[in-house]
Amino acid sequence: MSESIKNQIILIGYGSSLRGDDVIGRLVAEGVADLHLPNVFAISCTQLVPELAAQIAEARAVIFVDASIGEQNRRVAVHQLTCGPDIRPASHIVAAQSLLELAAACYQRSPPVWLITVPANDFETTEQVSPAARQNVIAAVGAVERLLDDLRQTEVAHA
Amino acid sequence: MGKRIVIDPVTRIEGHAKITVHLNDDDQVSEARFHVAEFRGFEKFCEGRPYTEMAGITSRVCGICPVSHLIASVKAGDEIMAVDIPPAAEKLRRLMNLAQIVQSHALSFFHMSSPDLLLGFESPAPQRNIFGVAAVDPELARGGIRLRQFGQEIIEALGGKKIHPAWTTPGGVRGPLTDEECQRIRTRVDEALSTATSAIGLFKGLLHKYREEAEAFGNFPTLFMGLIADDGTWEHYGGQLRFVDHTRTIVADNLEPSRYPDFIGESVESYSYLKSPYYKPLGYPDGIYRVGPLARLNLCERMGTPLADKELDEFRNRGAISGTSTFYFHYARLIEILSGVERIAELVDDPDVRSADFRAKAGVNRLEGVGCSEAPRGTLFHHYQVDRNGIIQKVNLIIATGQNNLAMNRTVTQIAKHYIHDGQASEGILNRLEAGIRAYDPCLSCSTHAIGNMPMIVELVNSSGNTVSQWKRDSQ
Repeated sequence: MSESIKNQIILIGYGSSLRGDDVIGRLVAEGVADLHLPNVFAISCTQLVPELAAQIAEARAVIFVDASIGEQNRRVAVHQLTCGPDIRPASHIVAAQSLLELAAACYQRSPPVWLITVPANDFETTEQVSPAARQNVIAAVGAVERLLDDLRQTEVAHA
Repeated sequence: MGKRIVIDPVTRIEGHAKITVHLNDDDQVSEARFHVAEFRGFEKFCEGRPYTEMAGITSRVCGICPVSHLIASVKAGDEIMAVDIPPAAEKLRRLMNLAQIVQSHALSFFHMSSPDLLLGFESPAPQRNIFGVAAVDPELARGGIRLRQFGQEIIEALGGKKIHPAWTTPGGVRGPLTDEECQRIRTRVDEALSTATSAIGLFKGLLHKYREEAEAFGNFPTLFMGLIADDGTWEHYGGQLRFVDHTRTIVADNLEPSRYPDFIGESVESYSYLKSPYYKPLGYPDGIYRVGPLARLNLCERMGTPLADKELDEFRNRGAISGTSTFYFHYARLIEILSGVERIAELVDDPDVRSADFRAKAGVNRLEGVGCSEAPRGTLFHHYQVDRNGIIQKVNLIIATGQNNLAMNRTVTQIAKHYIHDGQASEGILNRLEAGIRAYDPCLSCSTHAIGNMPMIVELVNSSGNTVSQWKRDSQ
């Protein structure tokens, strides 16, 4: 059962473990979990589901991690997100922005949110992850650590 | 010249489908059809796999109800092994199946159907979603999210993950619950009961607004089928099969699920990949029957839990329509959520769910096995034939949603005939056609074994095949 994650930073890595590099987000979440960082709660899941809105509403900040495709996405990138309705707002799969919208609508809370996109190459039906994707996972974990440092410094500066 | 109105895709359901409404030369509705354009092929590509893998493979038919396939699959495996599983294993499987029913029904009602009920079928489409619900009733939206979370987290506690948990196995399960996990579940029960009770109250309070829809949404006599316990109590895992008619008169009883080919036939129509099961003694299509929440409530004498039994009495006192109208699937679904939570509360207090005796072991002792259980949407059959090494030779899956196919077609025809006149259909009317399908909470990925997404559009086509007009909905 979900532990209380009140005021923790949640990291949500998502993707399919049966579609090659699509699992990158989850590997990053699992890598972050292995670091046992204080006040950071890592979630690895196949899909973004509406129930995550309840946890997002409790969090101090949220970091999503997902695989990205396309030539323009060749590096790990960090994007700050805002709320936005999904094209399928009532399905069991929601986009990151829709989850924020749901958390705001149901709980009147909008924590700061980032999306880290990690370059991926191979989305074939396989449980194997490409060597390049594995390297990108390491880079992405580093990006998470830097983002967390920035967050802490910002919080200290505003305290 | 006849015309055809097409709704494509049907929104706020799981999977991909379209509806075509056929108009006669007077622009009045002659017929409507529910088409499923997905094809999956699990029945074929599972041939050659060990039967022990089937739970893991077939659970990937669907991300909404993988547990249903896990349960039916391992029950087929139990038969191949010819074992009686330990009592603890049965209780743990029941616990997972109940959690599945609670979370799936919660998704169906709170996320997919409550927008229509709370905001109205004519409300602007961009608002008819969980965000629209949250805007007018944030507590309802929160309750729905938490209720689904309750079910999902029980599944995760048992199986290690919420989606595609690899935990059931032929012969039993892979592990029990811990004391800590049982305690965590207990702490959430009261809230879940409160949410379910409030939702039932909300639905009852809204019924007067939707009398017309209740009369027009699949309100016709059919048979109903499902599992029933030996003492007539609502059942979801074991028991035997029963058919009743729309007056709840028993038509056939104590049917052994493994003998399903004796009483269930499967027909195929050219316009859909969804098969059309029917009750064989009455032939096709007169043997139309429905499965799922309304069927299970019609079959049983009682729910077997106090709060749900009280609601069942009130449900039945609403008259014949509560036993025939597809609109009442919503109401039945909510009563099942309530009973599911009550049963979960009983099970976590049962010491057997923490027992170390959770698995029986054996090899292949029969060359055929049929697993039958109640998925949220209705009765599910997994039928495997294996060789002496346990390698699958043949698979037949009869999915709940497929068993409602004939009824879904008749439902959209009834709705179309009631609301569409002179070839005109407003957005609200098109939404009602979709809502008629949504009431069944169909799982099309399960019932058609499809691969990938298929974009769809809405077309009005005349009998010459020419597109007269077109409605486009956002693709799923």
